[in-house]
Amino acid sequence: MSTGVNKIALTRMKDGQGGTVVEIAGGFAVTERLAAMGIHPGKRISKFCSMFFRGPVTICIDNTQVALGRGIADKIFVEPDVVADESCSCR
Amino acid sequence: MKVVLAGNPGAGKSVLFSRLTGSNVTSSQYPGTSIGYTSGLMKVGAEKAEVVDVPGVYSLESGTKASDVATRMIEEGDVIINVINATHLERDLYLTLELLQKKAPLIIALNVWDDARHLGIHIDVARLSENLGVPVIPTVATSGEGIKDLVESIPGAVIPDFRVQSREERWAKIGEIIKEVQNVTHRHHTIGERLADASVKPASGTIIAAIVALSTFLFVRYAGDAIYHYILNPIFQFLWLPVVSRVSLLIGSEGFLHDILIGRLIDGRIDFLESWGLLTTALYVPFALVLPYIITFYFALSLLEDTGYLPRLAVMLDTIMHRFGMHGYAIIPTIVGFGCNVPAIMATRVLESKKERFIAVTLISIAVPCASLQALILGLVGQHGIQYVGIVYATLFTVWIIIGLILNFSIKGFTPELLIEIPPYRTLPWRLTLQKLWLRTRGFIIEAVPIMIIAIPVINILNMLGVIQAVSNFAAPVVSGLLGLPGEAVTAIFVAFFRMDAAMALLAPLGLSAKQLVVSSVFLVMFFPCIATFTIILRELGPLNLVKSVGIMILSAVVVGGFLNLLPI
Repeated sequence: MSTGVNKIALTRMKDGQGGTVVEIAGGFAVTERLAAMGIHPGKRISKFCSMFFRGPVTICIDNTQVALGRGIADKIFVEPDVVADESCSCR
Repeated sequence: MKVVLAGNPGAGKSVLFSRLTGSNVTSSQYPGTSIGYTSGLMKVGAEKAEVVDVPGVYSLESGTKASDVATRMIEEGDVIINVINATHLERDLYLTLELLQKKAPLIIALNVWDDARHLGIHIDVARLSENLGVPVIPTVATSGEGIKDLVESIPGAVIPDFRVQSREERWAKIGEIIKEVQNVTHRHHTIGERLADASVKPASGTIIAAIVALSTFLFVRYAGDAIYHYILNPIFQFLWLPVVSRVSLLIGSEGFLHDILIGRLIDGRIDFLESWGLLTTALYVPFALVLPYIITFYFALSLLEDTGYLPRLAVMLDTIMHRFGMHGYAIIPTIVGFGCNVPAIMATRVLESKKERFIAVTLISIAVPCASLQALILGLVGQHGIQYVGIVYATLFTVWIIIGLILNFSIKGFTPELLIEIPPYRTLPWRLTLQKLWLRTRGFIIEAVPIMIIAIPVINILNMLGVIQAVSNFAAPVVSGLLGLPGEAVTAIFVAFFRMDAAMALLAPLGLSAKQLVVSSVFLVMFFPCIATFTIILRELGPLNLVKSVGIMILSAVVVGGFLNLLPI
């Protein structure tokens, strides 16, 4: 389990980088919406890409791609992997 | 007995529903297709049971309107079938754990089982069932695999005994279950998957989106044109014309009956577009002019829906759509609107905020012409040259942008952030795709064509009685002064309330110039919704917002129409 010391916002991760969600810095509604889609602290994800001009961020989670608007992606904090790990890549 | 199908969006509930009931529902490869709900009948042993397809939700406690509706529907069920997508078991189990506390017999349909196998996801079905304390049946709804087993397990369903309360406890439990039952073998990306990835990445995705949009337009335009020129028009000209010509002679080439059935003769001959009779124009417009584009548009739309491309387009366009007060997902109803505005406005239900829905609905009814109207615009305006059709579309696109900016600026409220799952690409389920195309085409034939067939003789009679002339004279100052159209064009504006395509067809005999046709096309698209769209806006937005929305339409149509009239086109 991660300690959360090196946490960065999802938007600041590099494309293709994997990590573990450590914090959702949002209100109840956002936390609940994200949790329902499987995005919650402790979950392994990887960033796939982000769209031009502060567009949505696409992440890979459990063999699925999920696109999140920038405002939501800014609220998700992730501890990035130190070593590259293929286990959370998409499909 | 009442069986409810519950599951996450995109788990395949609608396809499973049509398998269970043998009935026809449209489903698409993007979440939120089943809005409202569908119910049908199925047989469980000798007994008949009602099956209800609940809209997809990720959780029953998310506090959204959709989840409240789903909860209520689920509570009415005697048996719950929880449809799980086996390719993301972990996420789908969250809803399952909520459902396990509903004190109703539960069965799990582990759907999309074939894809899970191909992806190297191995699930121990027996141990999953043991862990949850309910039957788990692997199914492939698109092919029908496992459906029989699922139906046979319904009578034996029992109320589960499962106690997990808080969210943290649920996630912990799911973690344990996944560890025990699921095993994923790693595999390399195939070419198809690389292509799929390219359509989400910014640079390649933008290029792919442009190619998809252009090829869709070219396909609808030219394939529709080919159906008209090589199949439907020849049928009317070579097979039907001799028949109606004989009828025309038999009833004496003139008189009341002749005017109703055949219409006016143009230079002594029947003209399918201009004669305006029941057996001529009333059949020719829907079946020869409109039908080809209905078929090609809905075929193209089904391809985009069923392959799973549309959510990717929503991601590509999210930033732009935010400028208009909507998130990227609003592009999907907008595209549906190019077929018919009615299902498009219903599809805006997936948008979360009131502001967003109001903007989406208003923009669709102002600037998105339906397929029937477009067919007539292509036919009539296109006679003067394709550049005039270009002016119509460019004007509508500009209107869409400007009104979108204004509405976003002037309406209070918030625009939620995009949060959508991007489904994997699928090879087309041809049988289902063609079935959906047929349902939509049949919908056009049984719902739109009768109105057309009734409207044409009614207009004809009103014309003979001089009613239309009177109305025209009354409204002429506005219509001719402001829009530069002849007084008779008023009839078209009036008829547009019933059928947009009939209204455009009314313009055919007026001998309008290219500019007048451009002005009247744009005006008809923008001015007022047809009655079907009007009713659906009332139902979806309520009377107050309907009045606001229609007010914006009328005002902007007059402004834009008047402006176009001043331009040297």
